[in-house]
Amino acid sequence: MRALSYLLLTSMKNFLRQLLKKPALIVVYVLVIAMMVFAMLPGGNGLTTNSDMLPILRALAFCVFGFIAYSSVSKGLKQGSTFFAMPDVNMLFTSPIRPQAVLLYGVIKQMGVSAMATLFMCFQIPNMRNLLHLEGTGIFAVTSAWFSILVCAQVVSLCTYSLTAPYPKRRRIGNYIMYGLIAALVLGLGVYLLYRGGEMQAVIDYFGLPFMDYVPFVGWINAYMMGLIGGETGRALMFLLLAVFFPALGITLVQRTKSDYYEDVLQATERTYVTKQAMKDGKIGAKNLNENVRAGKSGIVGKGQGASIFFYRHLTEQRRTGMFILDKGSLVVIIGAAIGGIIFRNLTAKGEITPFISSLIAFAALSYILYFLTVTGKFTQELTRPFIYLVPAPEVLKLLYSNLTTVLKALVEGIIAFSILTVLAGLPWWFVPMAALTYATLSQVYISMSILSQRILGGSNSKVLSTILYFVSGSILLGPGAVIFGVLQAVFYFNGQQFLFVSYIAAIGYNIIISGLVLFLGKGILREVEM
Amino acid sequence: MLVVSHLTKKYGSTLANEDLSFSLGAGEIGVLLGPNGAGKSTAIKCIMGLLRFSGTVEIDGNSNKSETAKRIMGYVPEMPALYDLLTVEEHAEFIIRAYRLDKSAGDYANELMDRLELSDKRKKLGKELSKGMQQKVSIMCALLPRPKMVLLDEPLVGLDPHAIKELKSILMELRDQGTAVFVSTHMIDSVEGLWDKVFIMVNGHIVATRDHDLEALSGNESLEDLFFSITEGQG
Repeated sequence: MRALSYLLLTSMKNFLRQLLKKPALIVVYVLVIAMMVFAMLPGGNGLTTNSDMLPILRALAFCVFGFIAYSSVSKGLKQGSTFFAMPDVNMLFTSPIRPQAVLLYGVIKQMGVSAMATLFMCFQIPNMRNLLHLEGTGIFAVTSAWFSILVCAQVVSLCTYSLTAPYPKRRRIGNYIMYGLIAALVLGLGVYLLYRGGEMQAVIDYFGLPFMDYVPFVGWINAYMMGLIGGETGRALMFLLLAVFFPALGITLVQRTKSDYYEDVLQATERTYVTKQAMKDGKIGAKNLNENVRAGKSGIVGKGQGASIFFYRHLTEQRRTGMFILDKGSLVVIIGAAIGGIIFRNLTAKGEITPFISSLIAFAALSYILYFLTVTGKFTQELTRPFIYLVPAPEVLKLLYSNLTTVLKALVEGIIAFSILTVLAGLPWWFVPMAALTYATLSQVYISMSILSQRILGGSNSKVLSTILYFVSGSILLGPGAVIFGVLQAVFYFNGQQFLFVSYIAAIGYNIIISGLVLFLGKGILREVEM
Repeated sequence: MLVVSHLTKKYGSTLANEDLSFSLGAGEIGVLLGPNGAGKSTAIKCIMGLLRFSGTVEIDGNSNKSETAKRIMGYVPEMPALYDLLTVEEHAEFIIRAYRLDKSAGDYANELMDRLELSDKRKKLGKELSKGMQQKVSIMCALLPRPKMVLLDEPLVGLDPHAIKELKSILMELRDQGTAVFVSTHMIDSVEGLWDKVFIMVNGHIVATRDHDLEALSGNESLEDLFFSITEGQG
């Protein structure tokens, strides 16, 4: 272990040294830590942990944990995952260090990564306080459960792959067990709803049924979390022990029975390495590079020529990687809308929130997610390839067509998400078309932020400068629209509410005008930007 | 030194290497030549014990996956990935500890750094190095344990002319000292005049083997001529 502990300790030491050389980075870290501390400071409402929101927390946590567990096991059954990086393959796997020691090193490293991911849960502490009325132990319970599910998921994924990959029969059995369990849970929900009636409360209560605590990992960790919140420490620890025991058993099994596990992690490590390298080289959205995509039918969709070929090429790619024009990001938006809808419905029923506030929070939250989906979208990826600069066509048209799938996707995504939200949260019908159109046009404003900052920057490669400029251009472009929208919302809210939709129309108009203007003025981006 | 017998590697139903059998003696430079996608890297990874396969690979009489074999093997990978947060000299320190090398290894590390023009970069972190520099560090790490057999997967890609010249001269020295050197490449001219044995691989099979001493290329036939005469029509 001397070499491995040297590796871990020296890496940590050098990380801190590097930090000292970059004052700007220290400022960022201090800000992040300050924000986390601020988020952790006790709130003023003093509500107890025994709030009515706990069943919702239990149901939500079960679904989120379930999704994480499903993703990891299914990844484990298909392509495997890894605790290792490429240098580990090149230097550790080929060295005379025992594979068992190397695996232990991998697990420790992975726990560090999960701990970092858990730190960001601290930003949710105000939400835990305000929405779920949690304090001290409750907050610890949620964050530690999050950490546990992240570690468990990685370990289970690796063990699943390592123990099943070379054996198609085992893989089949693994698939049967996983999908069998999901089918049983869904069937159980169906039966329960038939028995209780199709109300939302029944869905929430279903996740509180005693047998749910025994669903592997997901139920165990959920039961640990709820046990700790409810003051049943003994019960909580029992479930935690269960959740720790099985991954530990899995690792021991791999260690004992398969000293030859290197191949199992090799492909996943290479895949991760290629993706990271691509992202380092500025290929935003490179995370999709290695996904299993089948070519299927060959040929570009439609009859695009000149500038419009970019639109049709995007459609062709979408056909291979997405669901019609939607993708995995859209699923996040739609599921987020559904979860939001359930919460808002509950809060509205208790009189803690009005439909107007629900609509505002929902729109703001989905617009926030849209930002991240847009900046990793097709247009930004297009700028990292040579074709958009080379195709002999008018620049405005090239920019327009390379943006078209982004706006169409946002529109379809918005219609679905806001429809679900409207039905669940009992919002007025006009909210669907108005919010969806505002959402779709907002995607163009996000793109405009990118065009504007790149147009000003030209070929500069300074990441700090481009980030600052991006936020400045964001404030310039989004600010006036947000102010207009906010003022109109307030005016119409205090004047009978029946004309609230006008504020959305104003926002749509503003978005179209400002993004069109930037598109026209920024057409030179294709001459100024360097790949 | 290296004996590969009936090595077959399958990925699901895809056959990457089929029934490879060859050997390389101490003090020989063997070159595995083949077009892209021929299965060279898979074969190298099997020999290095990174993949499972059927058949056997022995290094100096030991199974390639044994600790004894690993102690006497060096590997320069196709992708020269270094630890981002370790400096060049810390990579050497890490290898010294991992292979439990004695104190003299430190001097050898310095010598290798000098020869590969890494001395002025010794305090640089892995992530601060260019691709070519990373390749040089990979080479240093592979040679530091003074292996009895070195495998190099496309070692000349990304190196500058000086480094290529230096690496070739290091490989010749290793051969003279009795080390078996196994180089996989698709750049024929880079190994011209360097090889003792050449193995030509196409579609996962070794389709030809030539021994420089015993079967000198006929007349003025170059390695390139030989390669094309064998592979044309087979790819």
